[in-house]
Amino acid sequence: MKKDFLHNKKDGFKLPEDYFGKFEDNLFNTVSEKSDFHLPDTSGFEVPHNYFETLEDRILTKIQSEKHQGQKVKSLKTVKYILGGIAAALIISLSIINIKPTTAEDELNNLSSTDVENYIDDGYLSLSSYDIGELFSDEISDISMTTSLDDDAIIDYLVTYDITQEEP
Amino acid sequence: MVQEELFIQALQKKETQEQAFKQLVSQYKERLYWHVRRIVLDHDDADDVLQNTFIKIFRNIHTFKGDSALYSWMYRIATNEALTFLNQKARKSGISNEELQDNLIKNLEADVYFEGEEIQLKLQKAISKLPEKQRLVFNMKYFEEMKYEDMSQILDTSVGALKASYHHAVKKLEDYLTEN
Repeated sequence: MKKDFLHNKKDGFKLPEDYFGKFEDNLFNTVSEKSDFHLPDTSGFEVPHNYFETLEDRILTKIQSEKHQGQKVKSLKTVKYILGGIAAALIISLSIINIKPTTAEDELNNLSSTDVENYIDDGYLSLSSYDIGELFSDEISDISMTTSLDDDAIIDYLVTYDITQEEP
Repeated sequence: MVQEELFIQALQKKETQEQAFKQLVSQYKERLYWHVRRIVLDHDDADDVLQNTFIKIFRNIHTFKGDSALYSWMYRIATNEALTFLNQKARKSGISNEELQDNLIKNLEADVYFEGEEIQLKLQKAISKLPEKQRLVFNMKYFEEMKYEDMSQILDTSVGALKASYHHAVKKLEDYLTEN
């Protein structure tokens, strides 16, 4: 009998439902309540009159106009090609820097990578990824991935960045 | 859940896509707007980011596999768009993200779409001093009253870490506001 009792480790104590699940919340609430300071309930931000009423139409109009401009979503299959295009764009940027040192050496030496990034971001690099692929087909075929990409990483990339191309 | 699956199918089918997308915009526009606005602070910037967010959702809906709730997938896109927007803005101005936050707060003082009292302006100033993750967590929990479980999916962070972040953020804000 005594042996059975020793093996039964239940001590009879009970916890309120989801006690540990709510522990941090309760603790932080207690800490906040003890503080004399209270944060304001509102942020103070406002929107123009009728902003939300007209928002849907503006978004749908924008999508329609993009459709008419013939843009389409690139498929996952072409992601390697895009990555190659980005790499080639960088090669071109670097080539540009190397080609012109005799004409504007000082200015080019002062060109920061941020300037180059902004130049590309602002759309001044008037080459499509297709053009870049054509120009640097040999170099692109030499590019090898040292890290394999899983599907989730590729999808995250596509969701985070605009990957569009013109209709052929 | 079944209803959401049907809705996603409607969003992905060409014939039903437009109608379903209208419904999606109507349902989420305000929530996503306020989420974005609290990150970028300025109304016009929030409007740009929100429109880009919905366009991105529209373009990429066919890649949505339903591994997470549609709601958290959209919030992830909105958050990424807003943060990318701020990073680009800082880079184009040739300033750090911290300097950009200071500038945004300065602009807020003269913003016609900010009607906050002094305490609200001070709070925004204090929030802008927080690290990016804590800033997001605080806004999502305090103003948007989002559940930690939903935030965990959006920010890809454990519930425990989010609770700790929120607690640290509140503590820092209280300290800042008490001192200033």
